[in-house]
Amino acid sequence: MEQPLVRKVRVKNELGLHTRPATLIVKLLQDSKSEVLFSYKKETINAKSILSILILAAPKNAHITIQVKGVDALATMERLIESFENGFGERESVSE
Amino acid sequence: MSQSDEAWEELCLKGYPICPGIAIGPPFFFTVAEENIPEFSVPHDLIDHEVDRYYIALKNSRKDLLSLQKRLQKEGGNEAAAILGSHLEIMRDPMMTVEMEEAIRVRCKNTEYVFKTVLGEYEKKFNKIPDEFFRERLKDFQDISRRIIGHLRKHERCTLAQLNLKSIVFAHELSPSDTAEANTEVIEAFVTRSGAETSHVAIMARAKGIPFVSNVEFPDLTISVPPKVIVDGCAGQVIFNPTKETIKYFKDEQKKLKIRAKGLQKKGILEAETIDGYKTSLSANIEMFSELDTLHHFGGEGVGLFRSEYLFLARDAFPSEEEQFLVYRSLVEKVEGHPSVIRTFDIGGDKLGNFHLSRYEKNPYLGCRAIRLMLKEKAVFKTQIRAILRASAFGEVSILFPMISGVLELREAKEVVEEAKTELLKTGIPFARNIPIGCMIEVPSAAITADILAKECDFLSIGTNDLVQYSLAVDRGNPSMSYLYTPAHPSIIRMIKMVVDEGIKAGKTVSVCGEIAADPRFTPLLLGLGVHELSVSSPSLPIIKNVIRHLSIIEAEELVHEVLRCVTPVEVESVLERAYQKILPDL
Repeated sequence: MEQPLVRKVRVKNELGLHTRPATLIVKLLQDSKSEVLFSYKKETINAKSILSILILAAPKNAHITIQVKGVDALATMERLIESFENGFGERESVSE
Repeated sequence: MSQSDEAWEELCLKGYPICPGIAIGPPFFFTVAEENIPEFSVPHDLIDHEVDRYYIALKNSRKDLLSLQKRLQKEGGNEAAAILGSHLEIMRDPMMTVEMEEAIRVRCKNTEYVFKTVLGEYEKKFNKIPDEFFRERLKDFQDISRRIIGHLRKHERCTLAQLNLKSIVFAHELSPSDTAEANTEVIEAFVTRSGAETSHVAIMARAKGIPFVSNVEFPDLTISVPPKVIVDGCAGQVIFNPTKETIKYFKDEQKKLKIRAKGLQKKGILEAETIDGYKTSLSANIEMFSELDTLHHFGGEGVGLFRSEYLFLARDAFPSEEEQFLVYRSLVEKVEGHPSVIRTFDIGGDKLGNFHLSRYEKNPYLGCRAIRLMLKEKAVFKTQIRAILRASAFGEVSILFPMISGVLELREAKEVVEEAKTELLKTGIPFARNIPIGCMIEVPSAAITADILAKECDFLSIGTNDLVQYSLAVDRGNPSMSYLYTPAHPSIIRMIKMVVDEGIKAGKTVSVCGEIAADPRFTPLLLGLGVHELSVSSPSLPIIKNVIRHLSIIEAEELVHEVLRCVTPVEVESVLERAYQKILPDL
């Protein structure tokens, strides 16, 4: 049995994993042939499900553990991390 | 004692009286498919069948949404189509597909039960999330699950259209689309657990004169159905298993009411004129086309408020320009010689029905509805305006904009009218060039700036239902707050006075079309304030006309001074009640 790739990432964008980033993640994973899981606190969920990502309710600065298993695991992981790193194209902090 | 009527005890339950009248008949239980879902185990060899049932229901729900979306896109409702798009997205989510399948297989229970339980678990999780973004999803989720369950339980899905025996309809709550497809000929009365005085079903019940009592905690009638129920919409009570004496008493009362109504109707053809010769205009609020036939019969002088959105609440899409034109034209023609006021689509909040046009909002009453929604959905709006303009070539008709909160909205809406006029001119389609344009006064900011609005439109129409709700900051649908909801609040009286005064100053007509206009106790006050026109539901016309014909305008003006001195709603009510008793001691 192959080992899943495991990485930890931080949620950088201000609003956390809300609808828009969740949609982006699911779109990004649409063509991926790997199984992708997110863990936050005690929950582990299927990252290809918008609803499941929403249920995680991960706020800004939450640490998410990503597990990817499958033929294109490496590429999938890279794209995911890039997405997290740039805060899903949203601003990191909002000054009022 | 044998299993006869005596086995039942008479039971009287109290509720809110919403529409007066007395009905005696068998109850009909209106349940939605999500209620009373059974639970049973499914043997292993039949689980595949349960899974198939789920996928078929999911497929059919998807089909529904796709065809709805197509229709909306064709008619320019792009925003609504986008919402349906996100619904479709959710249906493709693993949580709704593979994970649901797994749940059915693991739990070995019938599909609808598993679906409902799993959804309940999801909802709990969603509810724990403090973020608004997630809350919105929950609503989408509930909407989708209702649709899927409806497909899973096709047989349990009942509609009011199926009702064919004269019955008293009991429901937890009735949505606009439920009531819109109801066959009112066979509905003797409505009884609901929740609901408010100004909900759609209440408006419809009043229009049709169907007795209605809400907020009744009735027992579960699906277990044992009592043969007979009495609904007393005057006192707001529902009596189960009435004794012979009770039935006789209410039958007599029913007769008395009918005789009185007939007497008033005979006077219907007389003018709405006070004893000292002050003429008013008394017109009808119309939502169903069939009501037009009874308009003259009840003594209405035209249509003061045509709630255009009700025409198609039972449908899933906005009607085309041609279809609307035909409706408005026959409205104008049927009312012949009298003016018709068509209010542009007032959807949002409680009347949203099937449309999903406005995005789910945390606070829809303060959100995107009525004119705000139409100014965003300009294609839909212009289609309606063009249809009204075309109808104006066939008779007197005015356009009324709902929920105007300031003059900028009025200007923007008028611009759409101008654009539509230019388009029609270019194609040579006839219309009335000087079609009157009115402004609903139902938002406090509009009432306070009535002088500004009056200068830029042709008439003002005060919608008291919303004005009360917005001024007093009371949700009219919230039963625990309804004690605060009263048009007798001094602030409301002052605001009406302000609007009427400004209207008179600018030389513009001011009409009142909310429930207050149909409450005979308020009639003397409104006339005394200088309201030119009252628009009420058809069955209320004879009662209001009767009050007007027994009233002296001088006394009414004196009453205004007395009411303006009152400092609490209770004082206002008792002054009005006293004046009313003086005018009509026999009622």
